[in-house]
Amino acid sequence: MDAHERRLVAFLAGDLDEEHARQVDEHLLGCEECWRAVQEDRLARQALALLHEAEPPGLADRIRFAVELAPPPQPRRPLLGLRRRGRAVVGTGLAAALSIGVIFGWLLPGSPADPTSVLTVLRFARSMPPAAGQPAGPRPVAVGEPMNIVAAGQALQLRYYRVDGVEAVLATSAQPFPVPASARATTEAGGMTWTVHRGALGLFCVDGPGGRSALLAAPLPTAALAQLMGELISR
Amino acid sequence: MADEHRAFLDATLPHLAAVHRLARHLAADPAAAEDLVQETYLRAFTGFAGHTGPNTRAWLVAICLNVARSAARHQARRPPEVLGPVPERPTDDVAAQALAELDREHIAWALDQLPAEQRISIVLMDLIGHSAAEVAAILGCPRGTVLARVHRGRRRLAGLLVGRGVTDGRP
Repeated sequence: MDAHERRLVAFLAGDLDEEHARQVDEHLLGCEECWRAVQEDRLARQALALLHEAEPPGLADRIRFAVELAPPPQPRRPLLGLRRRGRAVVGTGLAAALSIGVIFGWLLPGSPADPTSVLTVLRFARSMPPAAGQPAGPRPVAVGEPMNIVAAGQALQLRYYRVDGVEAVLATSAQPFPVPASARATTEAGGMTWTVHRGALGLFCVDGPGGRSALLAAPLPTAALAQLMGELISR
Repeated sequence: MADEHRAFLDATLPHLAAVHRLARHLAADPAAAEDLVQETYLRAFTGFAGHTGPNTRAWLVAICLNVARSAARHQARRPPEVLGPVPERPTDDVAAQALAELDREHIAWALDQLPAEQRISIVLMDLIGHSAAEVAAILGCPRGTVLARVHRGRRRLAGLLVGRGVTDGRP
């Protein structure tokens, strides 16, 4: 960059004092090249202003949820302290790990052995917002907008439904949902289903032949879950 | 919600729009941009205890850039994808009339044509709203270098928008 351009850049950035800025102003009156440079700079800034956009609706919720699911960062411990304090430090570390496990368990109610994607669906099922004004009926009614989230590397789309006064969450994914412990699984032509209960919530999963998997969570017995799943995935 | 989560979200969610604006210019499409934003926030959460500086937005922006660079290095190993069609350039070379005819799609296309250094500097200053000094700190280069990149990038952008790549821009 030569001195001429450097001076113009400083002028546009507001870095020049009053006297030098006045000199550049006068120069611009007679220099077509510099005047064009200023006009182009202004045009670009005006055009770029048109690119300002708000974040998409639902992104804040997605980020909030992803952060809530994340375990608290482990505090760093100096190695020198570990060697010096020995058993006391190990004991403290174990207590910290247990505390983190308790917190994680509170954040993600379910069996500690459940896969993250299953825990995510359970968490959603327990935090469904009230749907004011929505009539209770036998046909499932979607509540709110679908939410896209990534849980332990698995992309999920979650959707709330209300049917006969019962809240349900349907999660779909291009990857199969890992089977949690104590689930009952059956293999059928072209796919697999599994079902398990966690407290009052039942989970029913279908790994379909088309590569899409669906996991339904609702406070329903297995037979009702299967029927509701059939209605939702046939839409 | 645990205290660490709440404190982090209180400090960082106000800057979500700025991070998303940057991610839109680093990622291939809107869905990838949202994934980039999520990854940025999760990495930031991991390092939040070590963040003591006053400028949380600049800190998040730096993380977003690093995440995007890592993803780009990983993506470079994959076969190239087929790109979408290039929007038609406006043929009118009168600046004021060109501005009135511009649409966001064309401006975004023109921005994508800039060399990476100019594009990133312009995004950080003109779209995110950082000062030149803040951009210099984020990118690890002198403030004067940032100003030069932004100025040359803006001129090149203007040239693309008025079709100077086709004509010399004179009536």
